[in-house]
Amino acid sequence: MITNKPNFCNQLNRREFLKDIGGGFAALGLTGMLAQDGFFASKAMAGISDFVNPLAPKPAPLPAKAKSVIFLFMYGGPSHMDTFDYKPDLYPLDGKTIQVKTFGRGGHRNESRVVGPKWKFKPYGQCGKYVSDLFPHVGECVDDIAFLHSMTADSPIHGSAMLMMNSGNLLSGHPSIGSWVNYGLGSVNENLPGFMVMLDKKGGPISGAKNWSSGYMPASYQGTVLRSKGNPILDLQNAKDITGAQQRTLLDHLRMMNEDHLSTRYDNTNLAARVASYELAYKMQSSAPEAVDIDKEPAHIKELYGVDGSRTDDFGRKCLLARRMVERGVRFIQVYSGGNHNDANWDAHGDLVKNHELHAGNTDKPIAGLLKDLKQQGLLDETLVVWGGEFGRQPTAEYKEGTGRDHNSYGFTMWMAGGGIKGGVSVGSTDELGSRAVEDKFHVRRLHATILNQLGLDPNNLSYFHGGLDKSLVGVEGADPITQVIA
Amino acid sequence: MNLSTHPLVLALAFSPFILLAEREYTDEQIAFWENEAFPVLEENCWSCHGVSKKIRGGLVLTTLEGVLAGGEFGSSVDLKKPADSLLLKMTSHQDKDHEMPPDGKMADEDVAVLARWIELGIPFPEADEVEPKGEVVHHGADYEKGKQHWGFKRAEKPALPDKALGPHPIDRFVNQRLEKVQLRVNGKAVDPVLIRRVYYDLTGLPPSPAEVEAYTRDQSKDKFNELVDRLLASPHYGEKWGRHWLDLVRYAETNGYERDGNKPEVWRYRDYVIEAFNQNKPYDRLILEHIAGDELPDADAASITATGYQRLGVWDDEPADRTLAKFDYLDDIVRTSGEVFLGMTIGCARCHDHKIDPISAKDYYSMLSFFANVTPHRQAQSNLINVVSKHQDLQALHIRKRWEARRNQLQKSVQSLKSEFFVKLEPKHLPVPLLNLPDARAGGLDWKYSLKNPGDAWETNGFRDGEWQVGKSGFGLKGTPGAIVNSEWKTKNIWLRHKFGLSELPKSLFLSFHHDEDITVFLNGRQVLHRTGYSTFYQTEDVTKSAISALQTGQNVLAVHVKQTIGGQFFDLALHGFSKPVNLDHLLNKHGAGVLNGGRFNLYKKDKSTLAKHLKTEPSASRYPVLAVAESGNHPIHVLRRGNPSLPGRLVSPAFPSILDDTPAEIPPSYKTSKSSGRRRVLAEWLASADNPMTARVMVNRIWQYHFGRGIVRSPNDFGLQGNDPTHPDLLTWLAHQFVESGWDIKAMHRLIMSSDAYQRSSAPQDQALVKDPLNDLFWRFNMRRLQAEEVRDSILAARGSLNLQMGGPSVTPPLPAIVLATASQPNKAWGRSTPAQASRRSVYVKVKRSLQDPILLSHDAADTDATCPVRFTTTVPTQALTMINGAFVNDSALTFAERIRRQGGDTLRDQVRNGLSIVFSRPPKPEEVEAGVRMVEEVKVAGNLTDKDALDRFALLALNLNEFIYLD
Repeated sequence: MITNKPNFCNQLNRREFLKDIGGGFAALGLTGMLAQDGFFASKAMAGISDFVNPLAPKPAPLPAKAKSVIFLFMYGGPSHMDTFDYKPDLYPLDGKTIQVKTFGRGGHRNESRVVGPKWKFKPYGQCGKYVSDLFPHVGECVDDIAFLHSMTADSPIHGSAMLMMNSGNLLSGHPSIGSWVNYGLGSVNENLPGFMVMLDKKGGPISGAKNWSSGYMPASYQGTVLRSKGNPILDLQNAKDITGAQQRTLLDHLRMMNEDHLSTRYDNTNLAARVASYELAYKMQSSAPEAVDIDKEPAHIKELYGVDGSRTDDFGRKCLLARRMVERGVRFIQVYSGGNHNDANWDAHGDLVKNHELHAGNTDKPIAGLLKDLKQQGLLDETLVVWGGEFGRQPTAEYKEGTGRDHNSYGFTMWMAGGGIKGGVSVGSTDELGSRAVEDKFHVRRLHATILNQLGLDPNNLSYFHGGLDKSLVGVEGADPITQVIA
Repeated sequence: MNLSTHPLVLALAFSPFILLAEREYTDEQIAFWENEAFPVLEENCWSCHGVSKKIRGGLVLTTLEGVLAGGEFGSSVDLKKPADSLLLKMTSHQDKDHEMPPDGKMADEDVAVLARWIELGIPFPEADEVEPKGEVVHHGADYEKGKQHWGFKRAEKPALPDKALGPHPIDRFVNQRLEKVQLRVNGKAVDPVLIRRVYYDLTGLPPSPAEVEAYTRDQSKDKFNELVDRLLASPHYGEKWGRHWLDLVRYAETNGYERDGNKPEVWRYRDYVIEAFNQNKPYDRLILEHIAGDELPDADAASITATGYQRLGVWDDEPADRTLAKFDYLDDIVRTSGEVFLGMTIGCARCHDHKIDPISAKDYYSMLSFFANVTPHRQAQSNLINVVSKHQDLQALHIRKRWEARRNQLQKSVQSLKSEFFVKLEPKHLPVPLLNLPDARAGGLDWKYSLKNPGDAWETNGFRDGEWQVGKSGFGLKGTPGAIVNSEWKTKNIWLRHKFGLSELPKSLFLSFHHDEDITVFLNGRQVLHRTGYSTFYQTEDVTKSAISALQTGQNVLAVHVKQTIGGQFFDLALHGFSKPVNLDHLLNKHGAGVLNGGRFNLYKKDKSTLAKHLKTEPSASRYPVLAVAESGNHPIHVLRRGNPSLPGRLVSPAFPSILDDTPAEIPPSYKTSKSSGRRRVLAEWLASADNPMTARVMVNRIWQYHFGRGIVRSPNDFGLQGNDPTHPDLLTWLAHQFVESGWDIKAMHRLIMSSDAYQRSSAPQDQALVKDPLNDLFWRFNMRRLQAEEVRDSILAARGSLNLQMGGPSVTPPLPAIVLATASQPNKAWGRSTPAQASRRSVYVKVKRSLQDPILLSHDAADTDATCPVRFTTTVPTQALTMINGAFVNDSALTFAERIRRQGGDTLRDQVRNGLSIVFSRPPKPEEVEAGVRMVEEVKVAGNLTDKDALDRFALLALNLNEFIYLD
């Protein structure tokens, strides 16, 4: 033990040495505190900025309504006028060629053939919100939901639009929103990563890991992929043939030998942090399997999420897992509906009915189950649920035949629930066709600002110095939260 | 009464000074303000322009002064022509780039109120003003302040400090500061520590136990310098220092975004870098080659390869805004070059003047205009340039050409017979067709076509071809053998497009074509086929592998460019897709004899087997393609307000950052080549000049940083006002002059630095010094460091004894865990599978794919590739430990490592443990360390009821996880 070595706390430019190497974990709180008072200044500086545990919890600078975020990402771009943005005037225009400005994968157009909405809408809840027959279960939850009907984004092309929705920027290389949240708040549970991503079984979204990358921030802020079946996290399980007892012995000796090495290098916090990181990994190994063990959930809960071996089973598991992560303090959980390319996600260019029946059918019950379950467990108040894709779809057909709709970033719908968001409200609107936002346009940055705000972070003050600039998720221009939906 | 003709209003209307000075208003003006203007402004404008924490666009509308001063686009009101006021243009949505308020247009009546308010002379009672509290973005580069900043000043070579401070010039500078604070420095590190430090520092690899032992035993006085010389001469030096350089230049082998497509042949740039460091290419030459390797009078294969540097960034092949994307591409080059070569964050001045440093937007766009004519990035082979290796051998070239001719002949024969078979084969032998675009043999197809160059992005789905003509294929003139002409084409070029819909994606895809001459085929913007020359018959190719992933449900577009240079012209093409995979070779074997009559089936079989044999005899190429820069056209560059291409400001010409050099950049006519403007050569020569105050200092600081773990300036890419001051300014300047005087000799700089006491000190802590200088600003000790990501992986491979030291060539793809592959949008296609031997190559040869990274490299903070990476992070998180203790790579390696120590360590467990530790520590372990290892083996054996072998396997895993293995003293 070397706890009696001199402690150079204050001389170290606010950087503290370990007080208790034997305990080991003290090291992991350090950087959180240091980062808070701006010590790291997050500059690319060699020789100083050794991050010890960047994920140590940090108090929110502002009063927080939400502790966690679940972002249900409908990759590919769901059609708003077929789901939540009721456009009665669009039905009778079906098949007619009209003048309407659109911009999608097929370029700019001035006129196209209307595809009438393919589903009926009906009112739900006390607020009487019209929801299409694609989402009867979500319909039951509308009184807890705030619909944003006038979302806009800068790109109607998947590649850049995905980056925009996830990192606020069309260009690659910026940290994703989950990374910003972890940078700003750390993770409450040191046994689990603070930013988790669950992917569709068909594959990741395009650009893969770039969607949960930490960009110019350290890799420790990036999202960790969580699986609902098999080994939940990369390398969480012991290697083949290594039992728990063996591993414990191995780790004990590793620690002893490392502490021996450390005894003559007692000032090096990185060495101590590395010793501690093995213990944390060990704890993660023992706690994560429990965290993902949804078989323990009672039957009625599984039923609520549609975890029943049917088509809703897969997404239901992920939603249920998301709730379990929230209970354990994970800050940001992203769940993808849709992966790969074409009709393996919401990108309905060919047969709209087939595509949306598939993806809505797989997700409607699980999403409603998640909202209801969060509510009954008293978690909805502190959990912000966000639903949406990287853009919406056009009211018109993409080509001569068929019902396929091209991309639309001029106007689309997203919704939020819980985490201090008003229920049963709808704000903003698109024109009578759903072709573009006309009233209260909300840029993606406003959505990001709202998410950060609900977590107690000031979107315009949460910044990271890189490449000569203080960068922020909401950009140099800044953006304000959407106050209309904040309770 | 018409207020606008009121004499007072007229008098005021022309002078903002008077408006501000004399704020006396008529009753009408006051009433208008109170009842009309004020409510409109307050409701629509003030929340962003005065009362919020941030003042958007630099515009304050809560004070009269703010209204008159305006924001980033100038005054919000035009007093001479009220109707032209910016305030009105934006609120009425006439300015399409700035529709205010951003949430939605305000009512027309409200816009009219604002118009009237301006006409009335902007009545704005002082009592109603709200002083803005938010941060107003201040614009305008401060040159006066910049001139005083150390970083931008030219400095003379300082005199060496007193001889009494030490024999070595570096130590004199270092000791000068140490002496002032009376700090006792650490002594020299012991031999095993030093040799390990030097090995990793220069080669990124550990010394073997035998090398450590020999070095320790060596009594010669000069052994350290000899060691340094030996390692500088090792080819592995280039792999290590080349990797540092690759961090800086954001080296990656894919483009990022939706398809994350490969950058073809980009590995040749990586090999160029490794070779350049190994050859000790002078740094000024390295710069010339990177910026203008194609424009140099002595341009060669290497210098042209170096220009690939400019093509390494991210590139979106399907941007939402193509004009903006062009500037994004150039921005990447300017931004990276500014930080890498000059240590200046020039990129920050793209949208407005740099907020801190003396760099204006004009400086930025002037710099950008050096690169203005660089051709855009394109898919596939478009950015490749053929170069001839320096060591070319004419005879070899001749042999190669003969080989290619024979290959082409055989390929054509096989292809034409295949195509004939495909057309004649009865449909019943094929699966359900989902896509059938016929060529002229089956009646032809209607194409849109253009005979004039349609410009950019014509091949993409979103291009408008409404104006194009329509014609049925084939196109051309009768004369080309086998041509079936339905539409006449007799010009040099033809561009064609055909749109088709798909509701179900085919599983196999066949392209039949006949061309005279060069043909390029795009499917949804992706190049799927390129052939030069002409054909004399139809060919059919299975393009399933290369093209099927370009298809999408919904609308697709097939686009073709055919270029004729001499003789006749012809084009025809068919595309067939089927619901199931089709093996054409298999069908040919089965039905070929019946379909291809007259002995042609035998000919097919004969030529096919000859071709297969011929392909195996390919002679090595002395002529090869590289990813490089080319120029075309002459593109004027304007300052773009807010970085927006649709808001061009003044025209600029190439110029250097004015804080450093405000003499105009003249492009000598002799610099112009047949292919390029010579602009980049002028920039390159300026950058690589001994007179440039930044270049040498920035580079010696980097060399210092990679040796000591931190630069003399801790912010190596930013010598500006936001960067860190140098801890040893004179030393930095002295080294920079020394560097230039040596002929920009990088290896000489290594020798100089490494021969100092400062470099050879122990890294041990020292209580007194830790109190006085905890951050080691004064270099009283050497900084410990963690191995870099590549070193971690390479060291594990070295420990297990199977590191493959083969150098160069295309990158390798070691196995990735399934959970990592599953993150790709096409998990089966995202990564390759190298042989075990290839998978064991050094990490610098592992493929750098932007959307998919090896977890062992990623978790140890490998460089992010979307921007220049001047300093690696050193993060420690539990998931890293998981990868090291449970990951397949480390566990597999542990087994091999254990095998090795069983084989070579000796017969007893003690000997094997000692051998294992000597490998991971690069030193002989102490007896108590061996005992600790033996105890571990014995305990784990009991804990897991293991065999001796298994227990030692666990020890090997432990050894690879020791801090001493991963950290250097």
